[in-house]
Amino acid sequence: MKLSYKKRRKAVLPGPSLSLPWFLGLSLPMILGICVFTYIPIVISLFYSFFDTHNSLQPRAFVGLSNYTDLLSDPNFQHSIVTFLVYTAIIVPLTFVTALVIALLLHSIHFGAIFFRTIVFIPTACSAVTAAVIWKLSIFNGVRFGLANTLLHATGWHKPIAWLFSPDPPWYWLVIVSLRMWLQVGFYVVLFLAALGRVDPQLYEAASVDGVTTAWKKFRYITWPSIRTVSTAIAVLLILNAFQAFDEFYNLIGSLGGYPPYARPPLIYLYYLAMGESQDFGHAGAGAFILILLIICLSSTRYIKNIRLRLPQRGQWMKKSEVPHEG
Amino acid sequence: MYTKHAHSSIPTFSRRGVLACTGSLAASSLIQACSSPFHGLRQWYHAYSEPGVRQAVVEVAQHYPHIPVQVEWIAGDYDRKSAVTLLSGNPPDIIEMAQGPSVDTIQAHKLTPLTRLSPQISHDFNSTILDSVTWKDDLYGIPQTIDAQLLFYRPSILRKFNVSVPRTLEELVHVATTISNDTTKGLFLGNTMGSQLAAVLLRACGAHIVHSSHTDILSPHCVYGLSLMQELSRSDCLLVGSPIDWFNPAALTTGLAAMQICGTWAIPEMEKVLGTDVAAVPFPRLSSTVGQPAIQMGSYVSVISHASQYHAQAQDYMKWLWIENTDFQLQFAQDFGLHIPVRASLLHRAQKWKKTPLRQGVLSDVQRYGCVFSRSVFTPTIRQALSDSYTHVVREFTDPLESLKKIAPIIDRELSRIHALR
Repeated sequence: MKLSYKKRRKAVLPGPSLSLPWFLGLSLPMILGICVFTYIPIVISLFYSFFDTHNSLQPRAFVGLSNYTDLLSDPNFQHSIVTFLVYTAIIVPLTFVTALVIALLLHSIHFGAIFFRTIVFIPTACSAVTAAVIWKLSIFNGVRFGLANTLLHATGWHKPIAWLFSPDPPWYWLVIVSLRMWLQVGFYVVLFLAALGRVDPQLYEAASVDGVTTAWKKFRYITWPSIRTVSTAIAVLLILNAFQAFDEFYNLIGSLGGYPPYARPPLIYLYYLAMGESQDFGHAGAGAFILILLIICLSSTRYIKNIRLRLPQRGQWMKKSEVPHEG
Repeated sequence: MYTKHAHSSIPTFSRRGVLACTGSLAASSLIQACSSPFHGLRQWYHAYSEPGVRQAVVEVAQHYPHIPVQVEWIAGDYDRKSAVTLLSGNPPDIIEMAQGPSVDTIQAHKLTPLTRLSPQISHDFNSTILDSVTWKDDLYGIPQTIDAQLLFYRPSILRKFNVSVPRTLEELVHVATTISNDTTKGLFLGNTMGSQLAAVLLRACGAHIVHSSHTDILSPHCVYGLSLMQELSRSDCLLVGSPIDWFNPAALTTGLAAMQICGTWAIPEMEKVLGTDVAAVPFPRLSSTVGQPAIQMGSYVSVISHASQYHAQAQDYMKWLWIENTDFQLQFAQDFGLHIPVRASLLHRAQKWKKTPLRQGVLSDVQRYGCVFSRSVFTPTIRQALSDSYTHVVREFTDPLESLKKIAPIIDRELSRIHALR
């Protein structure tokens, strides 16, 4: 009879299990920190979301679900959700494809691979705020001596473009997307490289013998299915990261005068609602909960993808991760 | 893990020893810090960019005889920090608030009404500003100095293009489009194309916005005024994307723009660079028959937090500082940047305001056309709605009437909410 996954794993661990006290002792600080800084504030803001709370940490009056209905019918909030969806639709495929292409290229070169990999990865270590300030004030500022405008002038386009300040046409998307890509592609390249390194090179040799000659066919039939789990994980990570987009928008488009109504993702709208002058914790808490529900829906699409990973093995259906690996 | 040289004759520093030393040092300093709490007034100032302000306020606080006063100099996003500290259980006793407290802050009982001071503050203080910090007949703050925003321009450029000084919005559009070229743009309203001017614009078009239970922004004059700003934006004569925003006169002084909305705090800087080639007019009225010129005034207001344990002492200190100590008030207004004294009696003594024709003209304009958008009525929701509507019209080219129609119910709702709180 086949042992369950848990029992098989436990049998493999060496020695007697003294793990519980060590586990508690080493992880308790982290668990406490997560509770204090994440879970308890979530519960508190859920509590606030049912009250009318302005400028004070004491709620004023119980209003039930009216904070939620106010926010869902607020055109500003709806617009911010649309902004988030547009941003996700642009950044996720673009980063995915770029990271994959760069990883494939880096995987195939022999000379200078480490050097180029380091160069691609260094921007990940750069502070997003610093990069946003450089993008905003030096490269993409709207006057004639900004870097982008100087390059445009050299190619014959003499009118300086106000990149971040004119919503028509929306040039700010170029600035935001280029900043986020510069900052995050390196990280995903490294993840893809790790996945590509685990693909067995004998598969490629066998495929060449069998007549699969073009690089595209090798990629499509060998590489792509082999990195499927990592690709799925990277796609979900990208969507979650796009969801948490705050610092690039806040630092690029925000200014001392506040934030304009275009390109305003939900986190920024709720930030100004809660931490701006209005200090409206009731509506902001409701908005945060609506976003939590949205992110639960989006990340549960991962389970839909998992259905495709089941393979028939000796007449039984099990998840691909449970298929025993050889070697 | 450690290679132990336990029996060596040379004293060595083991890692454990160094860690123990630094740990005990840190613990002892923490204990020392906790053991001597400060008994006195804590006063917050935001980090003024002018040099010398910090020394001046610390020095004058040290001269106060009755209770020790500790001045804290707060850099960074002061508005947010001061708002957040009022929520905490231990805010400073005296805080500087920009433009005064909002009605929600007052309703949430975060501030102490200045009952000991209101009889002292009489006709001498600027009544418009005092009204803006009064709620239900209680005074909540003392204004420190007044800053005003005007339209500064370079007369030499206007003369070069043979155009007259703009006195109405229609003339402003004509002048800005005429004098604008690729190297020097016609007008700089700020990187947001003037969204901070939404209320001033509507006031210059004749609307009062919040003075009754229904807003009056849906008038054809306001629609026309917004459409003129839209035309300014479309004609490409506005400077946008400057790395330095409108509160710094750099766009005017470095020649990026020929006209700029800026504040009186920047007058010394402008005169230093441009000499006599700088002049100022109020924000122009809509046309020669409609509206009136508007100058937006603002001030930092000293308030006392409700959670303070020294209400009476703090009020006495504020009385000593902002009512009796006229020498300090004059120095604070004139010596660090240029601000307008709040008190009429100090205006006569303010010699630096009489130095140049520009300063004298600005002062008389402010006294004639100055208006305040009081935080106790202009709530953040109203200001955000006005700013968003302005942005939609001027930067996204939506129809002005449609945009105003969208925000009018929001403003009405806020007005009825404030009316119910009275």
